[in-house]
Amino acid sequence: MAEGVAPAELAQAARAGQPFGEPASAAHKVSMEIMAEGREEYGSALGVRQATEQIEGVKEAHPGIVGLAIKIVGGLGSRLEEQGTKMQERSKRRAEAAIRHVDEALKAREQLLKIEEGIREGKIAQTLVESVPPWLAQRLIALRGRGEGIVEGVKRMVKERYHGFFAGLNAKRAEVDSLLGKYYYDAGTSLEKVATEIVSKWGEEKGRRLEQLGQKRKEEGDRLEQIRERIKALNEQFEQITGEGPALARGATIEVEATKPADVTGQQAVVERLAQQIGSMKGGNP
Amino acid sequence: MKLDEILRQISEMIIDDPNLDDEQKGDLTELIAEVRMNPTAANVEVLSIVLKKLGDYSRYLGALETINNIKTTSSL
Repeated sequence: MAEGVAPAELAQAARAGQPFGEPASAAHKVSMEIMAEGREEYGSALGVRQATEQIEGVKEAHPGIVGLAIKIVGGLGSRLEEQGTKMQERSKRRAEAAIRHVDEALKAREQLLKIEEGIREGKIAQTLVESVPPWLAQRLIALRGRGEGIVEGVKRMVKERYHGFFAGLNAKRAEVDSLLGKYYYDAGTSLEKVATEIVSKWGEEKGRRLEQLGQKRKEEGDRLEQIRERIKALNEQFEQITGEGPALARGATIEVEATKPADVTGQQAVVERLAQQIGSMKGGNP
Repeated sequence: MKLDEILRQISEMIIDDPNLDDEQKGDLTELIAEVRMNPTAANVEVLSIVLKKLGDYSRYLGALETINNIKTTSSL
């Protein structure tokens, strides 16, 4: 509102019988300032300008009443603008929140479709690693631990996890329910298969690693046995030369056995040293 | 019913209107009081223009709320 043209003052001036000119100009100034505040759109919808002109056109009306009336009409336009702006902002915020919820839901659905695709293409384990979120993997394991049915468990967990996203989406409720229904049926059933195969693959992998470990131990044992055979052969060779072989060879055997079973290099070094000793006693190559 | 009584009743209705803020109510009741003190045809005509706009304002405000609700619902 313009300074110095308060409605009460206008009305007082009117009652005091002041001439039309000054208060009417002041009233016009009020209306022009209101119109200049960027309220044209809503003011136009309300017909503020036309109403102002109508009021100003009532020539015999009291100037104070005219000024106050123009101020009120202009104020209605301003108020309408404020309310409209507030509602637009609220509406925009709601729409943005709804879009975020739908995006989350679609991402979840996309993850599940990847699982489905992985099952169809036979890339189950790899697809799971790439697409199942950690919380889902953990829950699957926990569900199996409790003996709960996988399908029922998945349904419940999905409902717990994702239902909140949909709670506010009243308008597309049926569509959301349909989406959840597909998730329950397709993903739930498939995940049961996936979980079974994972357990199976884990078992295979564990067995394979144990087998590899056993093979490694066997190879080490074989090499140790070869070393012992070499010592035995050297011992016999030494006996043939000096008759002192058994004591020397026994010392080497004890030394070999004192080394760690896996320390094949150390064991070989002992054998080589023994062979060199025998060679030097023979006066030639071992 | 006398004009004075009608204007008094309108003034009471304005005071109870939840769509108006205190400043608007103050201005409107003051305008009505001025017209009651000086009820010439011209002054009453000015008041009637204001009251007409007041009615339009309430109607537009209601329409805004309705449109806002429709937008919110359809954006979901």
